[in-house]
Amino acid sequence: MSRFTWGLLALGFLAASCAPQVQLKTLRPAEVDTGGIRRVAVGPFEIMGLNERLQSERNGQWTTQPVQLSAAQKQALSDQIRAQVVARLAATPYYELIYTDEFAALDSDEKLQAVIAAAGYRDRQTQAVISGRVWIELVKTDGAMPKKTEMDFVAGGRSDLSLSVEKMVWWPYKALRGNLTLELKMTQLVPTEVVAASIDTRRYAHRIGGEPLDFLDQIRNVAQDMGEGGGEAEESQFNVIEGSDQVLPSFEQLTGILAASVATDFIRKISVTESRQALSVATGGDQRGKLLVEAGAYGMAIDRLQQVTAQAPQGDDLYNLGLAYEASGEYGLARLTYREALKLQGENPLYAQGLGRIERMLRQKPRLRSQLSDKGTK
Amino acid sequence: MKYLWVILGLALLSGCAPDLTIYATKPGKLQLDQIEYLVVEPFEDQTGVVIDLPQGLNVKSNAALGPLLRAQVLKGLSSGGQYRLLPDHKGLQGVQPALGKVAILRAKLAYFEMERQGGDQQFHVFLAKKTNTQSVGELLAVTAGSAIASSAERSGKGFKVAHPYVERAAALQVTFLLVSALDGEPLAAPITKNLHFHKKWGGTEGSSMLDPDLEAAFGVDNLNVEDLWAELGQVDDRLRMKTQNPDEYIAKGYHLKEDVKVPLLLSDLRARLSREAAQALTQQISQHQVPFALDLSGGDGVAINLIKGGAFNEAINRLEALPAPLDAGDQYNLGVAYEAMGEYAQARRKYGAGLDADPGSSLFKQALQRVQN
Repeated sequence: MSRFTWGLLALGFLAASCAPQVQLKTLRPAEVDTGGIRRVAVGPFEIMGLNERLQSERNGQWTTQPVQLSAAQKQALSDQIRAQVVARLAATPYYELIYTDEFAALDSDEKLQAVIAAAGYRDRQTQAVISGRVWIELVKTDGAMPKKTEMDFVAGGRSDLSLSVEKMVWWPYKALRGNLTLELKMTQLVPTEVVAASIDTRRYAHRIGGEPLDFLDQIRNVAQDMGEGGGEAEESQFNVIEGSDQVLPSFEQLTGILAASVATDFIRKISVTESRQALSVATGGDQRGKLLVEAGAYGMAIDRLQQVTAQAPQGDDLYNLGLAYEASGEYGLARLTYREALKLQGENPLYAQGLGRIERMLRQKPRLRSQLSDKGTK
Repeated sequence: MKYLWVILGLALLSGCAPDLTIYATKPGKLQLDQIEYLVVEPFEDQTGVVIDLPQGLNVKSNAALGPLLRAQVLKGLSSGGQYRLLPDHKGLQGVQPALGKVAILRAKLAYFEMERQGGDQQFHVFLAKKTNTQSVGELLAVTAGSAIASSAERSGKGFKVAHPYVERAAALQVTFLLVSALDGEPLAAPITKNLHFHKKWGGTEGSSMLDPDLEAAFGVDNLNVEDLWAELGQVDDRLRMKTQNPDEYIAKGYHLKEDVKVPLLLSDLRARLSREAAQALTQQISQHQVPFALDLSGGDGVAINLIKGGAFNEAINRLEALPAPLDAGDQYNLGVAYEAMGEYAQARRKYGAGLDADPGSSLFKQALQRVQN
């Protein structure tokens, strides 16, 4: 069975759990309260460990060839990772980026801390500096895995003989594994304090070719194939060029992907972020109302569904009406409507999730409000 | 058709996932109420120092892990939010904190790592078999042939083939010490943590470049324990996140490929060990978040539905409005809803009432233990 058929099966499994959806944008509070900090500069990104190598294996003999990077190439690498953080930061409306090279010109975190302690910087606007330290290890392997394999031979003609012959088969493969660990720190200048610190590791492992997998590894692979890729969100955030599963990414590409993921996570920690949520639309009930919600015409959907539910209240219509209220920010009305839907069909998980979402939102609201008023928007 | 089973298996597994995972904030085990500020000094890497392994064995440290471990500790303390972190305790700008409220965290660590790549020689005897066996005699002959071949392979006869392998091991021993910035006196007993990891990919199973005793020692409490079930249990959660909240999915790095056939790198081991050691410390000295997997009990279907959907308040309102006394399932679910909201006093009361009604119930006993601190 080919990979294609696997994919189809996986898709079928996915499709069963996927209903039509509506995209909602919600604000998510920062995990760490950074107080009144608004103006932020991005400081140095120091490369603490760098190990890139190519290795090959034949008959149990390994040869390793380290990739030597010049000082300029290392600087470019650190700039690339720094740029990922700057890009994510610039995308949030709650911080003002101070474009100064003063802090970035210091080549290590240690020097940065010393400059901060001595107040030895000219720029007086900046309230906090974000600095980073990075460890990278990337390995490309080209090898061949021996495996005893039974091959079937069928004799033709009148003979009823059918034979299998064991042979040793070397299955060539190419593999890439990468590990990027990025420490990010936000240091407030006055009073001096580390407001947020984080370190995260992102791993990547990809193998093309190789010996046939045993059953457990096949299960793992199916699970992996389903989880892999971030769909539209990945494309819009990382400007991914559609790649092929049969080509390994380059070291530069991989570094970019890994750094972007860590940077996104850090920004979500320190800043109020907008996050897109895909919510399921109820499929039963009035089709026109459902289509209007899916299309994002919430006002028209509310008019339509109000009429429909006033005449003959039905769970799915009420839920879609609630969804339209939720999407237009009317959380109180949304809650009432979800409750009515649940009264009609108490066991429907979709309705309960709607209520859960509203509850979570209301719980987060005080924090969100205080964080927003602290920072304002630029 | 076994691929279909894989899919079916996955579908079934998603039914085994816990009903609800909540994060509870727990206080650190050590009481350090007077401390408000914390300075984490650079950690001291010691080379050539003995790292204790189980079974009385040890290895000598040969690598540095200080900066990485320190960063992990800072992360744990920063997300715990109990202390304000200072880069240093002197030479700060702005108001200087009172030294009595400042603690200094120091650490001494020893780290060992090992990496071997090579090929294990294995012997192979190749057979030609008749596959359309018709009589019992033929079948027995084929079986006997296979048995003879494999015993020949075991005794070192046949074609020699090198099977490539990669073997990696790491061990960490760290001692954390918390002292007062005022007088340098220790604020608590030193906290020591020993961790190790060993794994071999490919090659002959059971053979190792390590000394056999040492390999056995690495095998005890090895961090390399793969739990396929737990791994697959996450699949459902992640897929839901992928469709519902793609931004978070990417931020957590779940979209990245992870082929387990590709051996882990030394830096993967470093990240793993330093993270575990930092977590152990954070749980001791700082408040931290703990995930709980809660399973609901049978009872009112609508309330269960509400709790699963995250509408805890609605569920509480519904359950509290049911005619008293509640049956055991509803009583338990009510406790869970309060616990998920972070209202532990109420949760304790509800679990307690459940235990009073049925003193032998292990379900309520465990729940009470969970919310006790």
